[in-house]
Amino acid sequence: MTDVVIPSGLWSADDEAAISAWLYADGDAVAEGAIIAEIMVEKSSFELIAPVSGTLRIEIAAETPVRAGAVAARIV
Amino acid sequence: MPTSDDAFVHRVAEAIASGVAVEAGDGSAAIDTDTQRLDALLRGGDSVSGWRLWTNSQCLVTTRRFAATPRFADAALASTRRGWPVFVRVSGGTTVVHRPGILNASYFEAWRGDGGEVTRRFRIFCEHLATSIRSVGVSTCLGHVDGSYCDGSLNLVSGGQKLAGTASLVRRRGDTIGLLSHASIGVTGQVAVDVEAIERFEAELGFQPSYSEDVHTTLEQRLMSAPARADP
Repeated sequence: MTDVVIPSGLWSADDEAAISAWLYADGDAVAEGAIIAEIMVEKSSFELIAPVSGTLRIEIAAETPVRAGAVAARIV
Repeated sequence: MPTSDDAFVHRVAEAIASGVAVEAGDGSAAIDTDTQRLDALLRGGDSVSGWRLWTNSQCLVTTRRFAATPRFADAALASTRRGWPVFVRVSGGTTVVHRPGILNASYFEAWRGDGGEVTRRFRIFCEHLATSIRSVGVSTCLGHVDGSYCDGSLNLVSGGQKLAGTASLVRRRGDTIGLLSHASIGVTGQVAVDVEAIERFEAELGFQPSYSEDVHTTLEQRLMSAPARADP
């Protein structure tokens, strides 16, 4: 099992970030390198990349605020 | 690549990036070119950094978040039948309009290391656009506009009305960060028609949009109505 972690160092800790959309559903197969979610900070869009191939297990729902380092999903 | 023939669009484009031709795009291909160019930059293609100025055929451009909603296919089909085909972009916000009287300004840059640079560089892009628009005679500042579609804190605003929305896309490959900064600038055309097209589409998605045509404007309208009005 591999954690999908919200990346750090891309926006200020003071900025409010949220997962705006999952591009795959919970339980979907994802390939390593695929863009699996988008994170919005104001009007800037950041992308969450699948670190490995496998089955996506979403831990943080869309529209939920997130902090760098949080586990957004796991790939099993 | 065909170029736009709108003289005022060209005048604004020249103020933003002198010597850069304005591409006249056609639908999704014009939108996708932005992300393809960002990816090329991240692959080491330094020659594709800098400006891309472009217009598009009449369409709505929405986000992946909206495209993932259950009613998207039906809403997009209905919009297409009204003359507003719907395409999906990868930058954030909500639905916007593209058409020949709207100038899209895209700026591509990449650097190694500090992702904290993103906010600062995106703001520099927006401030450059504001300065450029002032140079064609329209006072402009950055800020929110309540009641506008795709609102954000770095809109280009004139007389309290929204002239342009801005957004950015960040991609990281290894230790290289690529930034696509983008703005859609209303130069000419009827903002009331734009607002109606977006509201109908988003309502059919199941949202309850409440946008006001009164808070949107174009450069042409500003020049005709209040050319000397100052903005903070």
